[in-house]
Amino acid sequence: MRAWIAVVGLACAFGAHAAPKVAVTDLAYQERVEEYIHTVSSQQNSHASMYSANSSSSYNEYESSQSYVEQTELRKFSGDIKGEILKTGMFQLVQGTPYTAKAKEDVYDVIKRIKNGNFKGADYVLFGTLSDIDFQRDINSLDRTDSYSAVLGLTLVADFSLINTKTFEITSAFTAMGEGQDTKLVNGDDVRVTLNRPRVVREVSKELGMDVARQLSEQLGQAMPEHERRPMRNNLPPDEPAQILR
Amino acid sequence: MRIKLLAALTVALLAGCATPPPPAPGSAASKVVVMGKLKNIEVGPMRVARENGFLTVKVSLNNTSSSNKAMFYRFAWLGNDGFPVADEEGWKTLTLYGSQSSILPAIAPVTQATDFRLEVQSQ
Repeated sequence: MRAWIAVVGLACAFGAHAAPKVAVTDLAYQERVEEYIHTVSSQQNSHASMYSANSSSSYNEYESSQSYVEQTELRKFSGDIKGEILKTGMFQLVQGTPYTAKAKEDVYDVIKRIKNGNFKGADYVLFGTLSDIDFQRDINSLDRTDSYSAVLGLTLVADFSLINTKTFEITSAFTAMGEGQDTKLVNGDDVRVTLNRPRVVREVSKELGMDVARQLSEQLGQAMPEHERRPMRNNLPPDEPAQILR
Repeated sequence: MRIKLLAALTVALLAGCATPPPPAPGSAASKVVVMGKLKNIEVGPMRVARENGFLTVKVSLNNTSSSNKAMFYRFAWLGNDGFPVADEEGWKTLTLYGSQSSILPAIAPVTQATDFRLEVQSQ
């Protein structure tokens, strides 16, 4: 009997310390879509006979321009965020309902989305919005050589808030960044150089996930082990002072 | 007995003279590989640093003769395991005028490079 009580007590203790459940949204963003329509139609008819002649012509021109704001979610970069959060062991993850074109509510109105039951079973929602995303493509000459370096870079910055689904309290908020780049050395003999875009996207996703997990741990008072903290500067090794070899 | 000792000493001395001692590890000489011959060009001190994540090297060269000398050089960039981490470079030429001292700069093409070898030869 005592053993049973102990087992039940242990189970209760583990239940009480179970990690809270978090739903991670995809990165919300909106964009302005512009449409321009210009239609021209013209018609000319003429008819002539020995005693009469007639002709008619018509010309129609239609021009319109409309723009609207489209709201959606960027689904490419949340996988590694979820993975890194799982690695910290601080949370359990639950899947929320993704935002689709059919959704009635505003993508940024997270409170309404929580109330509508889009994140069932979640204690918290990690709500991310896209701040900026930018592809860079540069070609730089290398001194003392006839070669160039072709660089494809991608930088993504997103804003995150960890929101309690019961009280709507913001437990943690931060901006995270992911960077990635692919570099190839080229010279005049190279006809076509294709830089590896998928690899850049993967790097960005990985860095973003690590940055999110790191900042989340810092703000919630659980420091990550030193070896998991990586510098944000493109993962470059730290600089070393000059030494003279003789 | 004395003859034997003398013979052993002579053999040891001859062996010592035949092979010059290897350069001290970490010295400038240990980074230079002369391929073929390098006449009248002296490789002096080297400045090695890591700047913006890349290994940078500056090598001082000195033409010890009074006539112009052309030399060929290339860098081999090595990783922690001592093996190359970048593609083999092409040979480059450098002209040193009579008694000229010059500094040869180089930057590793990849951040993984932690060590290097300067391969040189002259005509």
